[in-house]
Amino acid sequence: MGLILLFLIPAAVFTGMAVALVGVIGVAIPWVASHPWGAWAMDPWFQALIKLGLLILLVVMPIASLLTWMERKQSAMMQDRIGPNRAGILGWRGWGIPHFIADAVKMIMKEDFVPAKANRFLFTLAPLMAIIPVFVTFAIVPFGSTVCPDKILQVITDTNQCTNGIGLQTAKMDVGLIFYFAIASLAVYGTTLAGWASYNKWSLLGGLRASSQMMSYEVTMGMAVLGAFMVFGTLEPQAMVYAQGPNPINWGIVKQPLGAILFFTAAMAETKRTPFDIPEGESEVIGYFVEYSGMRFGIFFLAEFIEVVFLSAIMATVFFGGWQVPFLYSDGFHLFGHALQMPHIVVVILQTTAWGMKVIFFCWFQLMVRWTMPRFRPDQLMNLGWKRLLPISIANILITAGVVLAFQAAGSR
Amino acid sequence: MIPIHWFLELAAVLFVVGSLGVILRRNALIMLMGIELQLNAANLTLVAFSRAYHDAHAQAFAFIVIAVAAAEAAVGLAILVGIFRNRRSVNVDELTIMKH
Amino acid sequence: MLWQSVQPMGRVTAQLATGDQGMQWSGPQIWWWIIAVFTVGGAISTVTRRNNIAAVMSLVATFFGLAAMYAMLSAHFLAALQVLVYAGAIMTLFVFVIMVLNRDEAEPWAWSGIFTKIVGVFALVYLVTKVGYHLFGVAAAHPETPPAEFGTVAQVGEVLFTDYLFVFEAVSVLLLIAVVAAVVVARQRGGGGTDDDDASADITTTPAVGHSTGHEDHHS
Repeated sequence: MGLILLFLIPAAVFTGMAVALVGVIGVAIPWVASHPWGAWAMDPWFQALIKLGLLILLVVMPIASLLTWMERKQSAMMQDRIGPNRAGILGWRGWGIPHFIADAVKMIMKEDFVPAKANRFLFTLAPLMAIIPVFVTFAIVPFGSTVCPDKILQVITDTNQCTNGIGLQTAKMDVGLIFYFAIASLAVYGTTLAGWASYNKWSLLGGLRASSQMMSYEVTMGMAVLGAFMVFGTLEPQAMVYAQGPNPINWGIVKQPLGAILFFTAAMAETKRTPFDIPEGESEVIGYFVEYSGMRFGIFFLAEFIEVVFLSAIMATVFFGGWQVPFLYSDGFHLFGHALQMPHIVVVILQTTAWGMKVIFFCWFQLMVRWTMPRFRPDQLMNLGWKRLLPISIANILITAGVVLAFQAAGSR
Repeated sequence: MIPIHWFLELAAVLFVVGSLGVILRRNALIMLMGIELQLNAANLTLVAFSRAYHDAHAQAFAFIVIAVAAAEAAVGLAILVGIFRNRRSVNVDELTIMKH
Repeated sequence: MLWQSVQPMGRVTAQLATGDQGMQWSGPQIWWWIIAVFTVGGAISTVTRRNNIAAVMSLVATFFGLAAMYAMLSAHFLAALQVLVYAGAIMTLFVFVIMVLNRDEAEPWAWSGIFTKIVGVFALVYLVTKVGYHLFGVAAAHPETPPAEFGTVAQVGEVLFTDYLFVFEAVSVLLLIAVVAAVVVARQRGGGGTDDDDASADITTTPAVGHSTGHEDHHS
């Protein structure tokens, strides 16, 4: 019961959000743009801004907030406790969901404390350096296919053929996932600066551990997706999703199982959550944000959860078909020769919802891992990263390259 | 349209700033950063010419410069850590043991 | 061949599309100036800061400005690489080393060797004026917008893996040597790198000893 609830509530929230997201981007904005006074709505900068803003406001922040609740409820379930159930809004306790609002209020109300000898500028900069890159990276995540605003109620076979289609992705750039790695590598500064600027030995220790861990696992993370780059022949997430297609046999997890596992492991190490939470080490080291209180700490906390959401989104996009629903083509379901035709807008909403379901599933999976695994020792962490994951990922690249070449030579890629 | 020589002049300014850092500072870390600035100025020149001639060869060159800069930074910082361990200083004026 | 086709232009304004009356900047040009001031400011801040971490953060800002410059030059792949390698990897390494050393500089400028430094600065100024004289007013051979595939991963990669394959491989070997060299140079001497094994041995043996003694006490 509880487990179902844990998945169903975020899923229900997300379905509503998906309708709103597609509705605003695919219907409302083209409607504004169709009027003579609304031509500004088709401006590419405005479009990009509205897409990223809506994605963050309607999807990322609600899921990240719900994750704080999911995490507590999940851990309570796994440890045979009841978990949060006290806070309520006008008597509505909703299985403890109002707790995240209570948490936010608490953090905002707390004293904003800066240690006397801390470097004030860098101390303030560190939380921003932790959270801004995570928001920016969402620009490359495709959360749906292309909306054709002219024929939302018709059945269409190819979304690429419609004029003025609106792609459900903020920025379609050629460098694709390299942009993600570039921006995500900046998150290291957040942790290291926090550790350094606090003027505290424990936080410095935590910051050192964080930077060494993140640098080590970034290598494996990049190497693990190289296989997927080769298989799909592109670096661009939207193109990768199109290359995977609606048939699950072509998804990244089937073609790159090893790469998927390696990427997930390395990226979990990047988020610095429990099997890899040495920089934080809540029970003994008390990591890089010891000196942070109130909303400054809250930003680190939130950044961690948004990283969880982002990792789930990338996992879904690269290895689990992104927004593709199994056997749902752009004109409806096709399975074993049977076809069920659907209007365009229904297909798009289904796809965006499916993307959200996949994201929520991987968030939940990370929570499971977090409450199942014990923490690594620092030397075990480094051994795992450099002596196991990295050689395996290089072997994965070599094998994938060989197989791709063989298929190309056979002429049936 | 941005004239291409603006980029070249910016690269020259960056190169000067980086060189001044290398020449005038005594802290080996800042000197390494000055070298990085110089390399970046050279890279900017390469990319500007690449754009001016619509030729990607210069970009491949800049790519290789970035890789070599990474190697240089790794070895340079390792040497710095080694020096600091023995001498407790990264001030280049104090590293005169080979002179005497 | 390259220098033959580079011809100094008389005036800057001659190239401006809207430059009918002197200096009238278009949108991208205003952006260029903002980013250029940002970049040069970061660079100057880098070489003048006394605090090492502040210098590193200034340099990161400079690299961001440079990445924006690359993007303005349609070199998007290099812009991403600039952020990935420089800001993400090299400067993180700097921060890491600075945190290990963790010292502020007492005396950033010194009079020792001032003569050599003055000579160096003069040589630099001479060199830059000489080169700058040739660079000023250089016009692009193809000022029009480059084709869509210019500066993409595919194009740079193709050049890299065909014309410069040997160089690419040599650089990869160089990087490998650098990694090994960095480990060898920075490693603690004398310990032989068995610290981890000792620590793990301590952790595994100590509870075992405690357990056995407790067991004997119980029996006796």
